[in-house]
Amino acid sequence: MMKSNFFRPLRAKERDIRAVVRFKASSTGWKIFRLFLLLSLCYVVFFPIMFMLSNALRSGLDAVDPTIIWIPKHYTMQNFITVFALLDYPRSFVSTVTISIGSALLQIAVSAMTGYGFAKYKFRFRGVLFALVLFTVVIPQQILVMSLYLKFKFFDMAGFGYLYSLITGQMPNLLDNPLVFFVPSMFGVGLKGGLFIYIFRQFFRGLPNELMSAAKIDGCGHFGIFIKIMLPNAVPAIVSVFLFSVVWHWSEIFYSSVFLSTNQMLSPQLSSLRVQVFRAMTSNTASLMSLFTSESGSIESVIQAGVFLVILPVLLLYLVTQKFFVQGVERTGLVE
Amino acid sequence: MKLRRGKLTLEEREACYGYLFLVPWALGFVFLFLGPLVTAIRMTFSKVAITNKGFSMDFVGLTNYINILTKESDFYKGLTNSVFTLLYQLPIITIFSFFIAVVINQKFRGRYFMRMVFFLPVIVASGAAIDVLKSSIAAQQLGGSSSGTIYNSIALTQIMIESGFPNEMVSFVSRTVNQSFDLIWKCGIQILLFLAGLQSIAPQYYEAADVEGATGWEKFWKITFPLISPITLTVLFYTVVDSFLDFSNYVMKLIYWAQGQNLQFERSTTMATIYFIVIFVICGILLAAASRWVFYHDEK
Repeated sequence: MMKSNFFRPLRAKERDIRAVVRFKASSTGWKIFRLFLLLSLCYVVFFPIMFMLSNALRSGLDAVDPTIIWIPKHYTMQNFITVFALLDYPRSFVSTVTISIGSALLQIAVSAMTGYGFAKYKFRFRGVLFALVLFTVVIPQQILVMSLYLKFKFFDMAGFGYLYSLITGQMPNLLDNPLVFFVPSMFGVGLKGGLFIYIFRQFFRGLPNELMSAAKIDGCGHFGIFIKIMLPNAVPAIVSVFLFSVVWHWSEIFYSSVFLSTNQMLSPQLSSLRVQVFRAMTSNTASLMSLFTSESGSIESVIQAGVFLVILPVLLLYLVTQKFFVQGVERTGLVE
Repeated sequence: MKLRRGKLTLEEREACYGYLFLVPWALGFVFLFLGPLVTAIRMTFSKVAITNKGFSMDFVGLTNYINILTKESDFYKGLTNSVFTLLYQLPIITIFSFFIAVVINQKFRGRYFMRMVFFLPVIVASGAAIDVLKSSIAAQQLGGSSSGTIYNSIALTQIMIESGFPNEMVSFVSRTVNQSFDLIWKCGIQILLFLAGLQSIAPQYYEAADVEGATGWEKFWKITFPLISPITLTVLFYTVVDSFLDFSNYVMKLIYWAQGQNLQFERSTTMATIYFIVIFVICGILLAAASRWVFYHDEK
């Protein structure tokens, strides 16, 4: 089409006409299609969450009532109360929050530092070292988990463990302790630590070098520049990493189920929730029987109430930070 | 050379500070990553026993590998299953998330809300919660369908069969529709990557193309597509790794059970290693195939 005068610059009037035509085309059909598409995708995203909420609020009668699709006829909070007790919610919540937020803060500190080093300094083997950072992301946890288990059971790092064993007679055992998450986070190889280093590196590369030079002329040291100048400018990256790290620790079930033998955290308990609810429903113990009243919903209602309780704090955190996050992710340019 | 002896140049001093920033990570990498990795690989060639002062490993050669590859049919089945699932999901996920990224990159009212919605699966979908929820919803729906999908497209399947579509096509379409939930929930990070990539393309390119009178189609293939290709490669890699390491993946569950039930160190580690080699090979093939059409900006 019009190949012959393809390269001829358009006259102003022609250009206007074309622009109008294109605008019209995009304004009607496309807009309706886009609206339809986005709404249907919203439905797909929200469906399980709404479904879960609707189920969790149902009493036993409503659970088997086929006329109820979304809105229950008899609201009840009993399912939440039941699962709240079964999950031992307050205790698990506190330990999950401790582990998630503690590790997130440690990871931010170390990966910001490492990312900054990679972004703003030139040294030999920089490329090789950075490739090693990415390598840590690609190796699946499943390969490492068993040797890490043994590592934490008989912990040693640069002779530290042997020193400890000289005093107490045995190697320090980190299992069943939040330290199994804190120690790797502290050294930048925690959960997806390499990815966070990558995000910070990308972000710091985008900050102008003049910031550094100006501070240096004013007599600021290398670490001073990093802490006083660079970190305050990196808030979007910090928020993104914080959110990611908290969320991934929150929903982490692999390491936590191997390293923390008792059910300390919330997410690992979900996998066995069905068994737990079933056992409680059929048990003869008075304390467990009292958890189920005439208002209780079906076993699925209780399970879904549990899932909702587990993801609720993360959802709230996301709602609070989403403004930073959505903007931050875009500006970090997560990728090259 | 003589002049500089004992003193470092400015550049070398800078480099020292650079290394200083990496010290904590380097310690962690050597002691908490490389060390365990070497132990893990040694483990796959040995028999592990716990002693009261640590653990011992006896070298047994390739026995662990041979046992898993010849005796465990479950592992084999799971492995081929996840490879084939990946093969048909990979193009769908990539194209779909690119399309969505293009749509929510446009200027319209409520686009911040839409972006928030599409990142929501990234927040919620990682881990056990969504796995448990999915099986719970599936158990509850009509007939307690055990297929583990949230949507069912019985009507669509019937219409397609009755209008004479070939069977393979019907099963492909209905399977895709049934898994639309899974697919869309898996696209969060990919959409995010593409969106970041689209926004990093300088608007000057499009302006120049507009002045020359290029159509939207031409702009897409001549500007957007080449400039986004490195990100497409990242997305492909991410999708491969993510779908293999997903908790709902059958092989992952096998490995998990081997660890959880009776701490079979060498068995689970060997399985994971074989699995990782498969992932690595697939990524290598992808890289070889993709390197031809990936365009790098700073390439001379």
